[in-house]
Amino acid sequence: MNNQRTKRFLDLHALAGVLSGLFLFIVSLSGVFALFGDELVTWEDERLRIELPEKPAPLMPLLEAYVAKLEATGDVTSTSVSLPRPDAPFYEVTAWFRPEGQAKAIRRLERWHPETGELLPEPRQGMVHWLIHFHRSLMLPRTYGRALVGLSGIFMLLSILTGVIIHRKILKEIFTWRFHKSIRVKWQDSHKVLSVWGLPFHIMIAFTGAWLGMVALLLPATAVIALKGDVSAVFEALAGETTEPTGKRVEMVSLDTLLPQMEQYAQRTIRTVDVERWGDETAEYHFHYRPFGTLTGLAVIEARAETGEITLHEQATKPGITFHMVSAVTTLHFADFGGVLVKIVYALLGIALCLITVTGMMIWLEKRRFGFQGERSDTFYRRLGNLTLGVCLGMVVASFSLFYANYFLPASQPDQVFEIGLVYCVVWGSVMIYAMFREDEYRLARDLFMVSALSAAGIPVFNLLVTGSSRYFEGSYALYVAGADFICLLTGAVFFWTFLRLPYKRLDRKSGR
Amino acid sequence: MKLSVTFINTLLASLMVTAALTRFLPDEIPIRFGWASLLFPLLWPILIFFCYWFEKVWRSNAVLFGLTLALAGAVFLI
Repeated sequence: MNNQRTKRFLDLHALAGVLSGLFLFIVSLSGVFALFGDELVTWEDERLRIELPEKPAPLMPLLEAYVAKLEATGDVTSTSVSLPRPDAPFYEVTAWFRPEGQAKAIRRLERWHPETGELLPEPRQGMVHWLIHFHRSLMLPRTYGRALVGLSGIFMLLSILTGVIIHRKILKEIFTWRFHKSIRVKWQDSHKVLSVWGLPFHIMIAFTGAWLGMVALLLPATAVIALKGDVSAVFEALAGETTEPTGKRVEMVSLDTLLPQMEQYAQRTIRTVDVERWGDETAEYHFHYRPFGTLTGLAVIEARAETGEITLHEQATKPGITFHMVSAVTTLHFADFGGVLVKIVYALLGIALCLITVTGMMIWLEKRRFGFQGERSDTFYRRLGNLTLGVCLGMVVASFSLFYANYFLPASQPDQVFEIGLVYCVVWGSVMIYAMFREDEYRLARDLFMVSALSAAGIPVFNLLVTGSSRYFEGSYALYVAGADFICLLTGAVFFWTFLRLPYKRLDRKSGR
Repeated sequence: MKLSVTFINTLLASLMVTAALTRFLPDEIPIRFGWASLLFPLLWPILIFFCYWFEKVWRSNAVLFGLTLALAGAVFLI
C-alpha cells in the first residue's frame, strides 16, 4: 500500500479515535460493570442473602395461589419463573397481567423465599439496574439509547479496520513494550500491544454490540424501505404463529413433577419456566436451560401443560438460523457461557479496551502538545488532557461510589434510580470539574488514581462493617458477595500500585515546539 | 466535513443494501432479515474504509451515492 494511502488511513484512525474515544471508554467501562449485574444482586440487597436450600419449596401451589390472586381482578397472559440458584437464591416470578377493562398487559414482578415461599421485599431498582442500563442505553429512551451505544461499536470496528491496515509490522509490535523509553513510546507500545493481543475479542464485542444496539432501529427502517412501509409484517414474521386460548379450562400437570423429569431429559439444570395461557387446554410450559458446548444462551423444551408431553426441544428460543445467530450474538456479548471465569476474562479484555482508548487519545494529545502537529495553545491541549483524565477516572470513581450510595439509600424504597443516578452524575461531574481546574496534570493523575484506589478498596471494608462478619462468609451466596468484595480490593490495590509509580513531573525532555 | 459526508453517505448505502437484501434474498422474511441485519454492522465501517481508499474521497462517495440510488430504484420499482 502506498504511503499516501497509509497516511489517509492513519488520519482516519486518529479522527475516528478522537471523536469517539471518550464515548468508547464510557461504553467499555460501563460494560465491565454491567457484566457482573447478575452476580451483584445479592451484594446489592442484603435481604436477598438467603441460604439456597437443598430442596426448595414446592413451586406449583405457590404459583397457583399467585395466579388465582391475579385472576380475581384480570387476565394473566403469561408467567415466567426463575428458579433459585446460587447467585439469585429465590424464586423470581414475572407475570404479564391485564387488569379488567384494560387492553394493555402490565408486568408484575415478585420474589419468593426458596424454602418457605414467603413473599420477599419488593425488588430494588438501584445500583445494579443503573450499572446494567447505563451500559445498555446510557439511561436514554430505550431504542435511541441502544442505537447510540451501537454506534460506538461501528466506530470501534472502523478504528480496528484502519488500525490493522496502518500497522504493517503487527507480529513484531505485539512483542514490543519499551517501558524504559519516553512517555510517547510507552503509550504507543501499550496501545499496539493491547490492541493486537485483544484483537479477536475486540472485533467480536464491537460487532455484537453494534448489532444489538442497532437492530431495534434497523428493523423498522429496513421494513419501511424493503417492504414499503409494512413494518407489522416483519414483526409478525419474527414473532411467528401465536396460539389463541380456547377458553376450555383443564388441570395442568404439576411443575414439581415435571421439573426433575425435564432436568433428567436435558441433563442440565432448568433455570426458568414460562407458563403460557395458564389453565387453558392450549397451555404450555417452556423450560429453559443453559446447554453445554454451544453458544446458545438458553435452550428450550416445550411441553403441553395438560399432559406433560414434550412438543419441541430446540437449542434456540425459536427454530431457524436467524434465531440461532441472534442467540449466539447475545450469548457472546453478555458472556453467558462458561460462568464467572469467562466473565472475568471478558472484564480484563474490557479494561484493556479502556486502556487502548485512553492511550490512543493520549498519543493524539502528546503529538500535538509536544510534537509538531499541534495548532492550538499549550493550555488548550493541557485542558483537553485533564478533561480526558477527569472523564475516565471520574467514571471509575462514580461507578464505585454507587456501592456506597447503595447502603445509604433506604432498602424499603424500591425505586432508587433517580437517587443512584444523581450520586453517579454528581460524583462524575465533580471529578471532571476538579480535573479542569487543576493546573498540574501529573499531580492530577496521582490525585485521581489515589481517589480511585481508596474508593475501590474501601468497598469491602464498608460491606464487612455494615453486614457484619458473622454472615459474610456463610451461605451459598458467599462466593458472589465475597468475590465482588475481593475484586474491588484487588482493583484498589492495582490503582494504588499505579499511583505509587506515577511521576510528579514529566521525566523525558520536551521535544518539538 | 469530509468525514461527516462520508459517514452519512455510507450509512444510507448500508441501509439500502440491507433493505435490498431483505427484499430480494430467497427464503422467509426472518431469515432474510437475519442475514441482512448481521451484515449491516460490518458493511458500514467497510464502506467508510472504501471511501478513504481512493485519494479523492468524493469519487468513492459519488460511487456510493449512485449505488444507493440504484438500489432504492430496484427496491421501490421491482
